[in-house]
Amino acid sequence: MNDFWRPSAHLFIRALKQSTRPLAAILPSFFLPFFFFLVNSSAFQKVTELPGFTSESYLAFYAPVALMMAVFFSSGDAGFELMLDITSGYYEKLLLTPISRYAILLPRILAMGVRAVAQGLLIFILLMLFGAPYRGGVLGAFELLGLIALFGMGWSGIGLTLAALTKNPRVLQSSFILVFPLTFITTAQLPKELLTGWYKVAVGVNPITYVLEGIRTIMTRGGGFSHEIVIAYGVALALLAVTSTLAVWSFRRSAT
Amino acid sequence: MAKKAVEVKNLVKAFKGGVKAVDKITFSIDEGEFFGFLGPNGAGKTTTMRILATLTKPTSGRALVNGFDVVKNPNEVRRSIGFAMQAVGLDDLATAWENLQLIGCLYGMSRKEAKKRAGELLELLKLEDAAGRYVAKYSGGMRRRLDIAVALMHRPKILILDEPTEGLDPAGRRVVWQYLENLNRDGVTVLLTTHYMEEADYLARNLAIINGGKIVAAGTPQNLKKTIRESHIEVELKERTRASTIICQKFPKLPCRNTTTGLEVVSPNGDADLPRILKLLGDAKVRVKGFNLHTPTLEDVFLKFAGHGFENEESGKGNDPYLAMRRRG
Repeated sequence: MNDFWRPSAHLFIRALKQSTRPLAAILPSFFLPFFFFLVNSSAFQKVTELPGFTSESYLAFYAPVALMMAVFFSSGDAGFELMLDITSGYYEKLLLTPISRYAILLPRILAMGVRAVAQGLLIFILLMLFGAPYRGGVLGAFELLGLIALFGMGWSGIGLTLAALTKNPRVLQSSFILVFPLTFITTAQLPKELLTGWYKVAVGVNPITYVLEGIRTIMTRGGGFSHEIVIAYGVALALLAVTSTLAVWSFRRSAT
Repeated sequence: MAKKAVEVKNLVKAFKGGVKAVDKITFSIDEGEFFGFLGPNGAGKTTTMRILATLTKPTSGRALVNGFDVVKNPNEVRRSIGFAMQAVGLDDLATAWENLQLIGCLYGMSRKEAKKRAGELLELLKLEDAAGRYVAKYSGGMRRRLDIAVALMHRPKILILDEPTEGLDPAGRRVVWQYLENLNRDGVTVLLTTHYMEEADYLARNLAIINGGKIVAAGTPQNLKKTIRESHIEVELKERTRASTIICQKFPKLPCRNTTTGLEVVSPNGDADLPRILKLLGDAKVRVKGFNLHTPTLEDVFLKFAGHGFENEESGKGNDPYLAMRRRG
């Protein structure tokens, strides 16, 4: 295991550094969620008057979406960062070192979890400054950060899998469009009770819905072990298990 | 008998569709040797090097590096070698210090040890002034030198270099040559591929030429040059027709052609024929302004064993006057 832990620590630090260089490159992942938050929370305020809409304000209802989008955008960079290493030849430099092949992949996933938490925290503070409510308390804060970290790592596995499998920047770029259906075919715009037809079915099938509902529950109703929070954790863990397995498989395939 | 640094036996690498990039090659490199691996583009050099560096798995055959099997003991092989690939592979968003220290730590060095070693290499490869800058801002030559430094970070016993001076200016190339010579003098085995024949001639003590996935020639540069039995005698003079007639009468078997400044004669024994030709022209009162003897170079050897020009020569399609003259001979 000596070829795993120590190299993993070094590569974890390197992955964190890579994520923040250049610093300007991470600005869009702050800007877009915040932009959607500002626009939608102002434009759809009247929606709160619909019968069955229980949230006190659309701003309060939409703030968790902004938080989740921030995680989507930050963790989505994992695949691009791996692709950068592949196209620059640095990936093969790492393969030449006598370290476990897993030490090249897993610290990158972990670093994405840390980045998701850091970025989520900053967005969270911004949301608070703009009037978004938070009723989670200290326990809720830990739950929120834990959920964000798990979801961030899980989502990063998709980009890593595609990068390792295809080694094609265009494929990875195209995969970015997944973010929009996965974000918006959820309860992002309206509570499930107000949805109808195929859209309601699709929202029910989309696992991201449950993660979003977990975040929303913590922020608007408080932390603890409510049904929504437990399910959100379950979905985030399942996503992490599936995508990291896929990433490991694709990585093994490409590294030999 | 010298211990072998590299032993390759019947190595084959076939890609999808059955294309054999490497086709049953066998060669070995003694410990401490400076070995040149030459061949045209697509001959199989890089594939062979990638197999030796554990980046590509062979289809069949066996390759031992520092006594370790590349398939069965890849990590031992990785610890034994430093590999500077054809394409530079660096972290552009990190400084030279960071690049070197991280690689050092991945090879098991402590941070302190890695920092010390990085400092030595940056100084040796004349990169210390730019060591704190992001690699993305480096020139091509600086990147190439840093890439070599990365390959040397863990003090490998065997250094594999795939066209390491490609894109370097002559001064940068000299820096690298000098450093490689010093390394080899200190006992590091070097396996080098290059398209610069003068580089291989200057550095390598033994060579193998690969073409179409097969090794077509091997030996010392001197011995390989001896396989070319032709020297070129260039004589600078005005009376070309008269001189040509005189030489053809005396040496009817030696091909002779006009050049812009005089005549060129191809001889299997240039050292002996040059004074004879000069004496002959002197006796006939032909005024010789100057002369030159071109002995076979490694480039001639390369062209003989791996050059496409010879395929054209065989098929009679070549229109190179140099080759045409050789055909006449």
